[in-house]
Amino acid sequence: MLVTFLAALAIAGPSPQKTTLDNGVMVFAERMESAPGFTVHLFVSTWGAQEQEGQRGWRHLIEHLVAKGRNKDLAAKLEAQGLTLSADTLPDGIRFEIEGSGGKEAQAIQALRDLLAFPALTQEDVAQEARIMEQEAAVRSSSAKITAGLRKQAFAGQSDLMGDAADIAKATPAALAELHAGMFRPESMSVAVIGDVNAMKAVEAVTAALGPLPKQGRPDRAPLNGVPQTQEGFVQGSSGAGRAVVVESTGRSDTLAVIAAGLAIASEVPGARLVYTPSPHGGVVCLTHPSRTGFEDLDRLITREGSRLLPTALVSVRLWADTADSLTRDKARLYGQMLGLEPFFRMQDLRTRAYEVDHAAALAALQKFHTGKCVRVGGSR
Amino acid sequence: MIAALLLSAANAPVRVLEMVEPGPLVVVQAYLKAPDNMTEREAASWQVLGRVLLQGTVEFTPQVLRNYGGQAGVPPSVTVMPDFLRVQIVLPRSGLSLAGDLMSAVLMRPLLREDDIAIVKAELQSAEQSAWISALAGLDFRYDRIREGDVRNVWTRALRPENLSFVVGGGFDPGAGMAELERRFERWTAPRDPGPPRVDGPARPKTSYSEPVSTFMLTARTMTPASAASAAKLLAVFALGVGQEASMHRVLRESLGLSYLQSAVLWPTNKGWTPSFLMVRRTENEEAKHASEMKAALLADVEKWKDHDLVRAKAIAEAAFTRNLSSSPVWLGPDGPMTQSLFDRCAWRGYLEMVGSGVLREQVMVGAMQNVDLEQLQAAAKELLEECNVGWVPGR
Repeated sequence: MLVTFLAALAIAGPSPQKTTLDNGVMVFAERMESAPGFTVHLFVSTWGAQEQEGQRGWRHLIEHLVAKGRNKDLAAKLEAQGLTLSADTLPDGIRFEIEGSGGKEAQAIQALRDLLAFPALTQEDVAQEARIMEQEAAVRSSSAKITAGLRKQAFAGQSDLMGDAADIAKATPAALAELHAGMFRPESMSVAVIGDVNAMKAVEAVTAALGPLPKQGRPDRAPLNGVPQTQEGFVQGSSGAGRAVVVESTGRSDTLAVIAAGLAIASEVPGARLVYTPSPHGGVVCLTHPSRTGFEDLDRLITREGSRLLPTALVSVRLWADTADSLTRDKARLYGQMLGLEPFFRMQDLRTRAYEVDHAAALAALQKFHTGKCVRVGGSR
Repeated sequence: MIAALLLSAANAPVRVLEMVEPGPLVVVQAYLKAPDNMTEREAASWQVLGRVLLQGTVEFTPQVLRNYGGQAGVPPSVTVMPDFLRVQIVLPRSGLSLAGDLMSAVLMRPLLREDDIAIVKAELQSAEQSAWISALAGLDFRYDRIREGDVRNVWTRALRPENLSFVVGGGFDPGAGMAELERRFERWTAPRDPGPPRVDGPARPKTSYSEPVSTFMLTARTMTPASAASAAKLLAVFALGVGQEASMHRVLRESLGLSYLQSAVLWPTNKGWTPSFLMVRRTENEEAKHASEMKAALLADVEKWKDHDLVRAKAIAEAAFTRNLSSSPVWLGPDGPMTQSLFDRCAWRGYLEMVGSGVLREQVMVGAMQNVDLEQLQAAAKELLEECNVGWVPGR
């Protein structure tokens, strides 16, 4: 039995593995036996490298440009091996995900290097991408607009991550390179590798890929600007409605209670969806509905029937935490992002606290979605 | 991954597929096909029906359905497509019998009350889906004249044994899923056929969208997943429209700068996949030309494909059928690509069963695509593009 166990350990390696490289890159790797593949997640925190006035959308533009790779051939190299890359701009940073299967995690991790160097660009390259981003803004879904509107209402002064077309048009390769240099420092990076991988070897591969990056010094860890508000607003060009509650760090019990309450509402109100954007200082739990009238009855539901929703709230948040712990993409996202922002984040703690949410906490959290206590937006054509 | 896949006997009153795999949940899904050749009124009634099924049954109030059906944290749901719907109940694994009770009640004894129908109609009228989902669905649903009788008629016409199939997945003893459902349906007699629908025109195609977003779409003929001839065409879908190195992304977005969102979708219908290649743009004047431009640009690109395009398409196709692929063209409903969740894997097997491809296994499909060479791929892609209808749904 012991021999079998040791043989299995030699193949799979001890798991999970967590370390900080000498240059400050934080790394987490975990083997998930039953996963059909793996996710390599690189999170680049933008704390300390905020967009200045006149640069709204530049981070998003950098995400678009960097994701093509140094020689604009990254997708070609990855997809030929069945690996896929996606990228997103978030309130706290930029995330890149490479997913694959079949023991190709080393290639995926090696490809991270290609994402870190600022590509050689012409002004026409920038202009072309700006045109594509205009199209992106134009076709944004109603739910995404509502979520963005809720964030804007919740944090006065914070700009829409999508950016401003006029500001984006002013971007030059040199100015973008300067912002990029401030953002893409090893001390701002965290990497999570989750799935059918050898965790130890994954950490070694990350060390080989990102370890040589020179230290640049830890940026100021200033929290996101903006003060939580309780406001109402309108979102132009949307037919939906939204409510949001501002929360603190992901692992806190009160955050999980708000997620529980939101999930219960989403389960009760047909068409409603929950979108949670984690962030230690600017997290927000958003409920969106495709219809402007979707939440008209919500206050009555919370006030008169709140207690009826509690069993659903409790079981939903447990399932949410269990699911996040069992899917490579979800888990890599949480670890990748949270390591950079909350270094002591542990999935086990999140699950434990999800199971500890009780009726009283869920009921109190439900009240936070009531008019006058939450942020509200409505679509406006 | 699938511990056991069992299908009920051919003479069973209803078809039940079992996917037994250890886990804390049990998933029961029902696929119900819509009647063929629905009229305009019926097509809209079908959309309403899907959304009103969970608003109470003869024995369960909507709250009871939600409370008891949501004990695993996943509320009962109905996915409504233009020509089929999928009802899903997810419970802790000890709740298989209750799941059968709830499913049976929702399908066979829904209340379909006028008040609930009015609420659903109002919601449908005020909440249009995204431009591209509306374009994929392809129909302009008019809800204003729909009444209880219309919804009840389309439900009655659809609810026949030949239109209904079930999937039971998750942690339960082999055979238990079939037993639960067959027990409830063994003495089932379908409701009396209300006869032909009242005279009405065919469902009208979608011709505009309410927001300033336009969708340009090439739509191919529907194909069944199990069709042997479809391996090269299926691979062509990946080569043309899946991934950042696919022709659509590389040519339409990167070279021509036409769009941010462009993709291939295997849009699920009750007869098989309808391959669709769509591009979404901000509405502007004189934009109609983009649909034919799109087709011409893709045809020109196919001519330039090399071996690496073939290798890439095969690798991405294999990824789509073996793991989560966020850009997968395999959709099971309007919410986007299939994932590897238990719910979606059940829905996938159930979908294959509904379209007569139940014997198909992912490995076989991937294996067939691996045998396609570059010449065959290019020929299939050209044939696929040439046969496509060129469509455009302008925004306002």
